[in-house]
Amino acid sequence: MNSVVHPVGRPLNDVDGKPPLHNEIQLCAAALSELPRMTTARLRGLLGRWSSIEALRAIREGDQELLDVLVSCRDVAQDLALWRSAANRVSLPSFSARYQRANVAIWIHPGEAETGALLGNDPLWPRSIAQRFADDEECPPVLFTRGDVRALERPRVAIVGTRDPTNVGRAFAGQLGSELASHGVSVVSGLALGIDTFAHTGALRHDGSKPIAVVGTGLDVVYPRSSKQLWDRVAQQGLLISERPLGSPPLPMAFPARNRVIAQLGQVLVVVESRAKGGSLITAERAFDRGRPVLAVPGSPLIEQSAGTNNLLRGAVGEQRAMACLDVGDVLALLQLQRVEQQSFQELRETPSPGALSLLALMDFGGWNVGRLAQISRRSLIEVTSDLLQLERSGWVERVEGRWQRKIGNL
Amino acid sequence: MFAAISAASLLGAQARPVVVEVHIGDGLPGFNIVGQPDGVCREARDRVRAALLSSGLVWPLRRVTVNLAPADVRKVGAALDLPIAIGMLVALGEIPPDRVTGRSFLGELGLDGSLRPFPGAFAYAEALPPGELIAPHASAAAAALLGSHVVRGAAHLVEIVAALRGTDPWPDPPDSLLGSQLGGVTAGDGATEAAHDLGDVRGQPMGRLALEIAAAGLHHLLLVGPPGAGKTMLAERLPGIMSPLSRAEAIEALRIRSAAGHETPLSALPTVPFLRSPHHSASAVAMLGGGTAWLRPGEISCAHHGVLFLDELGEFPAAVLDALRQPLERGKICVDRASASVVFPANFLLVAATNPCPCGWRGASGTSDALWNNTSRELAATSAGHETDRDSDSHGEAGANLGAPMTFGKKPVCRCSSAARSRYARRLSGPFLDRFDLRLAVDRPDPVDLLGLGEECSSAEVRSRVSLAREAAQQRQGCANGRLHPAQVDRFCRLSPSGRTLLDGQLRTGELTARGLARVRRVARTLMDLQGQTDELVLDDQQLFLALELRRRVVFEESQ
Repeated sequence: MNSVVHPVGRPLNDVDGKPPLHNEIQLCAAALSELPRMTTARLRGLLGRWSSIEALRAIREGDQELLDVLVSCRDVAQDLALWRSAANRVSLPSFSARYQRANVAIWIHPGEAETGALLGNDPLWPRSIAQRFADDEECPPVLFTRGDVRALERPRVAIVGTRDPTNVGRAFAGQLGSELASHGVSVVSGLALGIDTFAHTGALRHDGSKPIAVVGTGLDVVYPRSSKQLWDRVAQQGLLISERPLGSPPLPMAFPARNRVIAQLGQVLVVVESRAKGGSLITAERAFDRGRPVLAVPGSPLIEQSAGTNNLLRGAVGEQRAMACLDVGDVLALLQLQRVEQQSFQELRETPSPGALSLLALMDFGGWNVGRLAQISRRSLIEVTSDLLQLERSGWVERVEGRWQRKIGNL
Repeated sequence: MFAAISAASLLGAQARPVVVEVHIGDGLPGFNIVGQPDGVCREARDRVRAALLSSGLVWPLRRVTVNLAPADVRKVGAALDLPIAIGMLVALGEIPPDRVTGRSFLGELGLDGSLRPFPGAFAYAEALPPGELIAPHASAAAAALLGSHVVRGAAHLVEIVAALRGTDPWPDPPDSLLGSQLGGVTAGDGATEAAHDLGDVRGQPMGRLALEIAAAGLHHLLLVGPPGAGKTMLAERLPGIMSPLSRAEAIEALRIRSAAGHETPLSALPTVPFLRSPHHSASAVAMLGGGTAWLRPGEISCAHHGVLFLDELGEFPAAVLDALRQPLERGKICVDRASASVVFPANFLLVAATNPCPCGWRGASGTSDALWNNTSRELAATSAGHETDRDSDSHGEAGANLGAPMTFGKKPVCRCSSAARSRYARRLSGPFLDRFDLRLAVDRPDPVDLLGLGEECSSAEVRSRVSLAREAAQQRQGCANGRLHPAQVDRFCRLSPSGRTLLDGQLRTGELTARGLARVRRVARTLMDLQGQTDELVLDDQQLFLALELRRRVVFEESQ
């Protein structure tokens, strides 16, 4: 697709006494994406033909050419009237104030990277990403970001998976996120519950990491609300990205679209755990479509949360077959990065006393009640608790939801 | 033309002596009650008149004034009917005045002259001057428990008049009452020891230990677990293992229950503490005490010297639970109303049970990753081997067969959304949860336990241990370990250097709060007392570990 050069437009009024961060083109793009019943395809059609300023004017004036552009979309005639009245109510100064207060940058694709310049002295939208999007038929026409766009310049690995993982799934996602971050890789994920959350939490263990989160709501609508803290930390340390304008609620159709952006941004996709049907598999198919390498973490066939990943591995999802991901080395190899061997936590832990060791041998990955452990090991409650406390202090076991369990992985 | 009869009236949970003065003089015929009678009490006029006439006694066509002294205290209830009637008969010369000296009268009258029992007889009896008490049969039986009066029961006004005149002997109590008196019911709420023995609880070693600690040190206990885990079963067994009530405690507890209208026929003062388990729809007034007619003790006072069991804790309104915080600290509750202020004692042991989430299965052992957990099978295998070692292989086989399918069988798994979980958890405020010294995750017992031989300690065995520990604590510090003040904690629950290091680590990681620290030390103190190490003031490390395990965060305090 050809890139179009946009004029910068008229100067805008100051916001709260500060010079405006967004130019008129960006604000018009935001205004367009906030129009009722605006879809990605329509926005892409509009911005492929006109600059955003011209597109907004064309809508206001009911330009005949609009119909020609949008003729491929359904129900255009009804929506045009709707658009027209909404476009006539648009006030750019109020848009300017809203986006500036929310500290949100606006990027337009396709377009010269320069037109997206924003937020004072922030660096420009990385050229590699612009290129990547330019070659993509489903490229997001407008993106909203908060945080440091330089995160996109690093090697990027997308980690996705079920919202309801097993303990081992959580541990693996956290470990992988943390190890990738320690190798300077940006972890891309969706800030959903479960695997997404653990991958990002793991990545944030490293001070220098720059995680990237692609969300399905407006950047001022935290969803799910319980993730507020993580959401803020990602924005602070890395980058939050959304295709949706400010104030956009969590709509069902926004999440598959979000998965597409994750697949576009990640150079490699890792699916940690997924049920036989799930959003992660959509992300995997999108990555397959773009020829990106997909890795899946194998699991026992008896575990529901591994059905999807195992299907990926045997080629039952989409046209291609995913590769197995057993450790961070599998991912780093695809990025052509050198793995830095670290001493595993397993080796750092002190060896437990014989009594504690026999207790550890009894425990498997489920949660254990002290009473039951005492019954099975035929020891007194007092011995069992003091052994458990010792094991906890040296990092062999942990207490989850009121029960004791073996600590899995290296974290 | 004057008579004075001794009686009593209730204010809150405490009765006060009342003298019923009757004056019959010249003037327009009329009947007046003065001395702040309430509505019920004022209506005594009509009941007394009808009762006297239907009993074939006289009703004077003269001016009758009844004064309830002291005049500045409000008199409530119908128990003053009988003393008013007797006073009139004495004033009229129907009964010689010397026959009523040294005797108190209480009872409600029917229009036919029959006597009806009234609530609070036990509490009334405490306020009466020594001597004889004449009351309706059922009330007389309740008052007799106190043992401080010669109690005479009657069914009809005529019987009392005849006995006072000396023409007939005092009537015998009816057979029905005799039966219940000799029935041997000694525990509160009709719960006999045999029905709630700790020996019936299979498995649950941690639950049994927590109960024992709670009973020995009066530590408040929170049980968290899935439905059917035995939370209620455990809680119901707590009164049976507590050290027996002393005479003074039993009288106090009984008086409050009596004043609240919970009179149960008993043959002797109870020794097993009472258990109150109000439903979660209970209002704040029902829990704390109060009310419009007269100030009634609430559930927390009815559990005085006993156990208050709140089942389905999460279903109680937050306002009701938070209102419990102050009485939990003080051991009493002041009910202040415009009409009066009363203090109800409320020194109770709080036991609460709740599910960890709306469905109840969050974190349940062996369910979070059911497929990965072979608890049941291992337990079955070890148990099978163990039992065949002895003699019965039939038991062993049954255990193994039942245990194996559980491993891959369908166990309920929590499917609550995290929003639903945190909404459920928010119902219980942090400060309220902090009041529990013991917090325990309870799991459903394993089939192997249920079919086992049941060699668990009986309530009697545990109670003897508990009593010794309680006694030792009382001698050492004058109160139960659960009621130790901070200064006393420093004195009686000293830390060894290694114990100090351990707790320091727990405080730094945020696992333990400052309030939690004192609670862990108190529980460890009780554990030492139960082990017989009552004179050793430095806490043993292992006991400290165990106390810490019992105070760790419960399921719903953990985020995702």
